[in-house]
Amino acid sequence: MSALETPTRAGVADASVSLVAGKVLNLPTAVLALDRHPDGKRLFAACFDGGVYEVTLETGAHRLLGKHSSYASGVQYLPRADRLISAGYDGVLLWMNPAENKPIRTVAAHKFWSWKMRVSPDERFVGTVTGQYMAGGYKYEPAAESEPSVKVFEAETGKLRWSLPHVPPVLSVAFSPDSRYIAAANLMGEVRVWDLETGKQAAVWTTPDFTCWGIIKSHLYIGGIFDLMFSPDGRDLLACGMGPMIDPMAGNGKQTWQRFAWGEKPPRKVAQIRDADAGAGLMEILRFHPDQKLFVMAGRLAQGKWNTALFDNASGHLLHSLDTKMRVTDAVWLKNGTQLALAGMTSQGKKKDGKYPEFGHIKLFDLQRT
Amino acid sequence: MTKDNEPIEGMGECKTPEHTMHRRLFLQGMMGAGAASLMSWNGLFAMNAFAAEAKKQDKHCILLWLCGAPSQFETWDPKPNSIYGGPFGSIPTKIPGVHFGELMPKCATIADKMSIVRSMKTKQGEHFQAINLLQRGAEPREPFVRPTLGSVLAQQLGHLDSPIPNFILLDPNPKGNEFESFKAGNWAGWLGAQYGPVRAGGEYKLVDVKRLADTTTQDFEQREALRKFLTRKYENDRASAAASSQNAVFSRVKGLMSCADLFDLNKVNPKDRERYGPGNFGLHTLLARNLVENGAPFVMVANGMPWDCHVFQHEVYQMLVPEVDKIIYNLITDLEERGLLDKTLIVMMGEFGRTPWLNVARGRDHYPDAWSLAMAGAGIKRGVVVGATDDDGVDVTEKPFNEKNLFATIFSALGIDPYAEYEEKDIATFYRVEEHAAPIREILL
Amino acid sequence: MQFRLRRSGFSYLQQRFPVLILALLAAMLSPVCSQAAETAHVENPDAFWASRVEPLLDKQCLKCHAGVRQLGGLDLRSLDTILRGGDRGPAIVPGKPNESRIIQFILPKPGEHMPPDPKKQISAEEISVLKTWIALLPAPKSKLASVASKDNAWVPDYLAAYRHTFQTHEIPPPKLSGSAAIDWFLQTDWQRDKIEAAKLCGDSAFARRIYLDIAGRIPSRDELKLFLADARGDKRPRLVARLIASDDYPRHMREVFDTVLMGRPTDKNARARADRGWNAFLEETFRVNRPWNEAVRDILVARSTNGPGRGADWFLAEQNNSHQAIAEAVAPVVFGMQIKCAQCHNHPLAWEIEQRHYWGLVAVFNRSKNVETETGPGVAESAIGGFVNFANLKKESQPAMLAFLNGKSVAEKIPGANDKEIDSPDLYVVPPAKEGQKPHSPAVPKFSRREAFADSVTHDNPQLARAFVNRLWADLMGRGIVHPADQIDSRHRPSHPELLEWLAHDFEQSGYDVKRIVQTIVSSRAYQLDSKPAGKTTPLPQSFARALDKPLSAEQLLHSLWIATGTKVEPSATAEMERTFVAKFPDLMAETYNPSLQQALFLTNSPVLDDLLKPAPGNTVAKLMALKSNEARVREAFSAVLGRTPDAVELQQCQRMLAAQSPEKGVKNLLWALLTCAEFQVNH
Repeated sequence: MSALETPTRAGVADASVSLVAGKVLNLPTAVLALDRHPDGKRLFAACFDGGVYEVTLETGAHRLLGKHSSYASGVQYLPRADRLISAGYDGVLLWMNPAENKPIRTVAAHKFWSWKMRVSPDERFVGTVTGQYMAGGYKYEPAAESEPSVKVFEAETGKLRWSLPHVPPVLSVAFSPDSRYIAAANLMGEVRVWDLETGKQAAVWTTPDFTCWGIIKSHLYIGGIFDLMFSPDGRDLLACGMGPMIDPMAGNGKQTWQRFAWGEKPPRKVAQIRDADAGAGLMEILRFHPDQKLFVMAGRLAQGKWNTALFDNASGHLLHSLDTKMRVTDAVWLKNGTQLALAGMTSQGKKKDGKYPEFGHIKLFDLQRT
Repeated sequence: MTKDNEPIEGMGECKTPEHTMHRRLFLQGMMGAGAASLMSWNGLFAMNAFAAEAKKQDKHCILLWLCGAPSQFETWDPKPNSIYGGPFGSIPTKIPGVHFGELMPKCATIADKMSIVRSMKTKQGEHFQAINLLQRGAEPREPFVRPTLGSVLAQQLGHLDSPIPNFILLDPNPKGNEFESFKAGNWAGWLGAQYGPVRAGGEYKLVDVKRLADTTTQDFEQREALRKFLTRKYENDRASAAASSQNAVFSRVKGLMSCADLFDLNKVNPKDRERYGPGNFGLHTLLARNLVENGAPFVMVANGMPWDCHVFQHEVYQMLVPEVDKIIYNLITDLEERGLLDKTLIVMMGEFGRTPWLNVARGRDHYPDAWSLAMAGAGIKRGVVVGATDDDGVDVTEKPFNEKNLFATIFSALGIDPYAEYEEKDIATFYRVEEHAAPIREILL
Repeated sequence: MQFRLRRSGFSYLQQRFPVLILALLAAMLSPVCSQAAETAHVENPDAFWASRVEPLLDKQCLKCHAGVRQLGGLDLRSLDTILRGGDRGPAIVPGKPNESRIIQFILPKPGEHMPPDPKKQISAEEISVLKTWIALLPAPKSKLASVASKDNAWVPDYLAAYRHTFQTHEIPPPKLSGSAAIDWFLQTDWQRDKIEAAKLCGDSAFARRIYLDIAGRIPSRDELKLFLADARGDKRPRLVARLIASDDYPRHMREVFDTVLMGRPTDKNARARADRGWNAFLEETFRVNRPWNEAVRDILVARSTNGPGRGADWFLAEQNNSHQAIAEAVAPVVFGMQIKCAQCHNHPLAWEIEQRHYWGLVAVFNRSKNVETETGPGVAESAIGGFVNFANLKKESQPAMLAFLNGKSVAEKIPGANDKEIDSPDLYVVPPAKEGQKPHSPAVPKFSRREAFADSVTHDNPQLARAFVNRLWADLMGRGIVHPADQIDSRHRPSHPELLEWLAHDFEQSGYDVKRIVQTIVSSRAYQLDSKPAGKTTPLPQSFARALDKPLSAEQLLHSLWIATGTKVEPSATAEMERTFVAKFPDLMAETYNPSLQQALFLTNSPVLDDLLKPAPGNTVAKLMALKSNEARVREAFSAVLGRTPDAVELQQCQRMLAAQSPEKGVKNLLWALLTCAEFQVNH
């Protein structure tokens, strides 16, 4: 219906980009996080089985580099140090040398899961977020944290730099492009930003549009901000997830991103996905294209037409969308932005002929401009 | 259409002439209310016939109704080594060699006080039908409506004239899709409205529990006696089920007014409340404990359908399972401390289990083929795990049990004849548990 | 209109073939003499299907062969789908059990076998049920079709003949009035099932019943006296006509249909329904007797800012832009069905309710949006967008098309995956405002999905009429012909299918004349039966052989309490009182009547009822207290509250109670008991 609000601007957006499906690499287990090696030949995948794998783009062959005792949920490659850092639902951070098959360092970061882990662009810091949703009130408001929800480690030494407070569960984390700020957001839509030089909180606000409280089937909170991303100029912070649902067990909230001028006092929402562009389903990942003019948001399709879409950075309009037929958990731009790798999973299946069906996938797409 | 003077062919269980007659009468309609019309004014003040009967032993039952269907993997039957196991691990329990899901640390310490059935295998994978199956203990056979577990226990364990209702349903949630539809239905079935639940909790507050200032006890008694008389007269003249239900609820008014504090959420002990957790399921379980302590025969605690996690299963279970872990632990230890555990059967179950395989919405779907439940207290052995599933939890490998086995177990544990024939008038031949299904002997004392 | 006892219904019965003979005839007429004719118990295969086969398939097969999953392409939920068959063709050969694929698959023998799980086999008894049913089906006339055949071209003709033979029934003799036709249908069944119907109810009972049903309250004592004193033979129809013309009728119908159409409101929405003109729209609809299909059209199109349709848009607006909520609310109104179950997959049991219908209905409304305009709030509609896909449980995605449960559809060009639709003022009758500006009035596109949908469901849509008459019947008769009233699907069979069809047809033919159909139903003898069973056995409710209990709704109860206690209420206090009662007694046409302890506590201890029992000038308590004798007080109290005289026992016992107390206390307690007893709390 936004078309009604902006009838004269309809069609303004650049309709000339599209994603063309290419190779599909299958893995025996779901991929929860993905990164790339700058050589353009290798990907790194964090998986359901706890494994952190190196995946060869050409052949799809995969090699185990490290193992968590529960789901591996984060993986980042540090090009300058030639190190790989992974995180898992075991609360552990692993440092690896991708050339070798064994961890260099193990840090027990949290008592509960690492929901998400990111490395600052300057490679100095590793940010990881945690927190178990525990009943804190009659309406099942989340209880206060029992351990720091946000931790920042030094990438080089593995030493804890900051322990930062939040309300668990904290689901997403992001570093500013200048590596000075870290942002983290939780189930309740509360976003906090800290200055990494002082450890002081620089901004805090709550958006109600990613969370719902059950009225149909249950009394509890469902949803949250599943990924955060600073704009290339660092001024704005984008959040994604899905909108409130009538029936919280239906998983059909609106596919949503919102953009905030976080430096303003108070922080202000400056843009959000247009109603007409959005279907329904949880959005789990936001990534800017290297040219900074567009970004990709992806996740799951519950209703509508797409689970992966490209948006124009300036207008926020949807440029192109497609249904990748899987839940997308992570996205990585390859080859200077001419290729997009999407990682994720399809539903687990029953054993067939004594084998478990492969349900982890990395799908490659070429970005075409005309 | 079958002509009504012919026997019904092929109905299997309908062989006897008596039953043919029952059936035929039913087709024509219920038999008249002749017997009841002997009721007189004087009878109103006489002692209730049921109360005079020495009541069975002092037994109670609490059903923690985990509606929506909880996952066996995150609770009683973890499969940490399976590809389907999910992100939560398992922990050892007080029973050597037996593990629970890691979200149940407190129950693990009292595993030796409960029994776990890991081999439930039922046939209904849709909520509404499965709720009916697990609440009534048999498939529907229309147009007869089988009473729910609570109604049977209210009749078998309760006293019609006790101040505390015989069947209390604590469920704060007015909604809940299929459970909501179930709740709107007929709980007591052929037993009659007096065995239906009194619903309280959450939005179902019991207000208007104080007698009006200018109404004396005598006013209260006399006008209620007259109301009851007129309503009974109406019921008898017109074979009215509505009148019968109205008298059933009014008959609870006086007793309830005398024990209304037991339902007052603001009057629970704050220390107890802290132990049971702040959520409404804990609070209502605590009420259930207090009610049983004060003589309630059957209390069912529910909270909508929160366990139906087709989406965000792990995200929700990380909260729900620790909550229920704490609740079960405290309920069992409290009852034991009070010497009530041997008299009180606690049943913890939903309507089926969840699929081993995870879906793309981070959830598990409906799975009746292999699931788990737990029991503790009256008539139940301590520290027994019965039945097993395969390495992936896909199928039962040992001792499958269905809803009929379960109901036979519950009745046996409470000293109630599982195979008694219902002697309600005008219905076909039904048994408390059909098909003479065996109880789960492994867990019965 | 004729209210007198008809001498006998028997002559009508003779005009109707018993089903047994019908089945025999069908068997003989069919070219291949079916085994049905040879078996001892010849049954109507349709009845046999409902009683025996369907429950069996439910239990054994539908998990894999129904709405959610259709393994082998096979759907076993109905004869239609069974004959349409799976990937290999029809699952049965009518009349030939042994040649039917389904039998071959379930027989305990090696080879391909159903059910696949060796532990879940179908018993010999169950197999014989299936075989019996197939044998009962007449063989097709066309040259059939061995078991190996995939051919199902003969199926449509076969189904038509099947329906004609087994599912169509005689119509009542011509020239019967509508109400006589209702009685003809019911009496035919009573005769067949040897049901003894109740007597005709007395005048007092009739007056109370008709006042509650049409005016939403009991009659005042004067009204009752007037009616009882009327010696004219047609006084009942006269009263009906007068009540339907009264101001109480539209108010009561609004109360009923507000709840039926929209559900009980939250406090906020209760105010909005009044402020936004929804209540006025409904009342005006019933007052001026607008054709029901026109009123429904106004509700669906939701545009009128003036005229009779004003306020109808609140039906859509209250759903607060949730298009699924709108679809779920619309389906029972226009199709008489609940579709919630079909959101994620085809309805698991009612085969005709498919997921595409759910999403088709969502698509009708997903270009709609609540807007504030200079001329007030409204529901705008866009000319573009709203092309959504939905996915079934297998994650197969397909576009939602404008295809509806009544088999109709609206053709629309669907843009390609990345085609950009361009919105432009050319596409609108009333274009949307520019961004940031407040529109003058809600946008109206040239092609409106809402209008297209409204056109296809408010004309030539038997489901619309069926949905309305079944609800009205449920309201007036205490139970729907299909029960629950809003689930007219293949899983909820009408107790009197022919009657439902006849009523729906009559309603449609009359131009959806609501007052006429109300009058038709309440003029029937069936409506006017006593609630006391005639004989020793109580007939089943679905036989309608006596008047069924109808527990008073919140509004009926409140208005009746005011009349019985002689309370004059300030109009300003009415709404507040109504909200209190609605909160306590929210149910209307509940599937099962479950009075709550909270209701009993309210009636016992709430000051709300107590206030009505305090003496005040002119009220009932004061009048009773002024009487000289206790006997007079009891007689008067019974008359005021129950509209009847007490019997000897009642009189004696009530007098005794009064004698033991002060007049004020005694009268108050007496009235309380009368107002809370079932005889008052129920419309009977």
